[in-house]
Amino acid sequence: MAAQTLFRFAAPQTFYPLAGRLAWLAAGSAVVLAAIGLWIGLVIAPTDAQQGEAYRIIFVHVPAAWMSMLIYLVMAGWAAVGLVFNARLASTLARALAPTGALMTFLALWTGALWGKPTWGTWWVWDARLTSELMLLFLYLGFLALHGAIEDPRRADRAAALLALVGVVNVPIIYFSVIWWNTLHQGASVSLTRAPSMATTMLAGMLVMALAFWMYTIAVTLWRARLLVLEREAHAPWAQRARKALAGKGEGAGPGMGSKLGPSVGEAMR
Amino acid sequence: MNGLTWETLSAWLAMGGYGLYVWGSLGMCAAVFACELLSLRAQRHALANVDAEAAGGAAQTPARRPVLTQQEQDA
Repeated sequence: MAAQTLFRFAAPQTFYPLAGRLAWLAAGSAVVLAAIGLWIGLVIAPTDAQQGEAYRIIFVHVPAAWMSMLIYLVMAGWAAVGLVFNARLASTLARALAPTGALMTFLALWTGALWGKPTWGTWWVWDARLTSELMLLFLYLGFLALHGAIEDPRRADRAAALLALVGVVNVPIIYFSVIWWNTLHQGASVSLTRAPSMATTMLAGMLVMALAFWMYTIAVTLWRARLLVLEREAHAPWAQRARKALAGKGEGAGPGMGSKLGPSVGEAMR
Repeated sequence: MNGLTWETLSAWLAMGGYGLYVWGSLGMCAAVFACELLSLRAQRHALANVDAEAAGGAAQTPARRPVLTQQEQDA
C-alpha cells in the first residue's frame, strides 16, 4: 500500500540512510547541471540587445528567486504536515529547509542589486517586488529565530510552523507583485500560459541553472535533515550507532557522508 | 564564427564593462554555497566530537556536552 510505504519512510531510522544516498545523487546532478548551465549562460548565450552582458546575471538571479519562493512553500507544507499529523520528520524537514531558503532569498536580493545598479541606476528601490522579497528573508529568519528560542523541539516545531503558515500569504504577493502594482521590476519572462519572451539559448541556460539550484537545495536540505535527525533521535540506539559511524569518518569525507547503516527497526522501537 | 560569443579571455572576463556586476553575482552565489557546505561539515564534526567526548575519548575540540533527554536521565 502506498500509504504504508509513506509511513515507513516517515520513520527517522528509515529516512536517515535513504536521505544520505539521495543527497549524493542530488549533489552530483547539481554539479553536472551547473557546469552545463554556466557553459550555456556564460559562453554560448548571445549578448542581449538591450542590456549587453549585464543580463547574464539572470542565470543565477532567477533560479535563486524561484527557489526562495518554492522553498518557502515546501517548508510551510512540511511544517503544516508536522503540525496536523504530529509528524516529527515532517517538522524536521521544514526546519532543514529554512536556512537554505534564507540563503536563496539573500542571493536573489544580492544579485538583484547588482543587476539593478547597471540597468536601473540604483542598487535598491522600495517597490513591491523587492520589498516583498525582503519580507520573505525576514520570514525565514523569524522562523529560524523562533525555532531556536524554544528549547523543547516539538514545541519549537509547532510555534515555527504557525509562523511559516501565516507567512505563506507573502509568496503570492511576491509572485504577482509585478502585475498587481506598477513596479520597476520587469514582469515574468517565463510563464506557463504564454511563450517565453526570451531567446531559446538564454531560456535553456536559465532553466538548466534553475534545475541545478533545485538539486543543490535537495542535497543540502537532506544533509541538514540527517544531522537534525541524529541530534533529535539521540536517545535511539540506531542514532547512537550512526553517530559513532560519523565520528569514524576521516577529515576528507564530504558533508553528511554518513554510514550506509541500515535501519534496525526492532531496536529503535524497543 | 565558431559559435562562441567571446573572442578573447579578457573580453569574457570584462563582460562588456559589466564584469563587476556579473562576477559579483556569480561569486557571491559560489561563496554562499561554499559556506553552507562547510557549515554542514562543521556541524557533522561537532556532532561526532560530542560522542567522542561522551565516550571518554579525547575530543579534538571542547564540544558542548549533549543535553540529556528525559529517557537518558531515566536510564
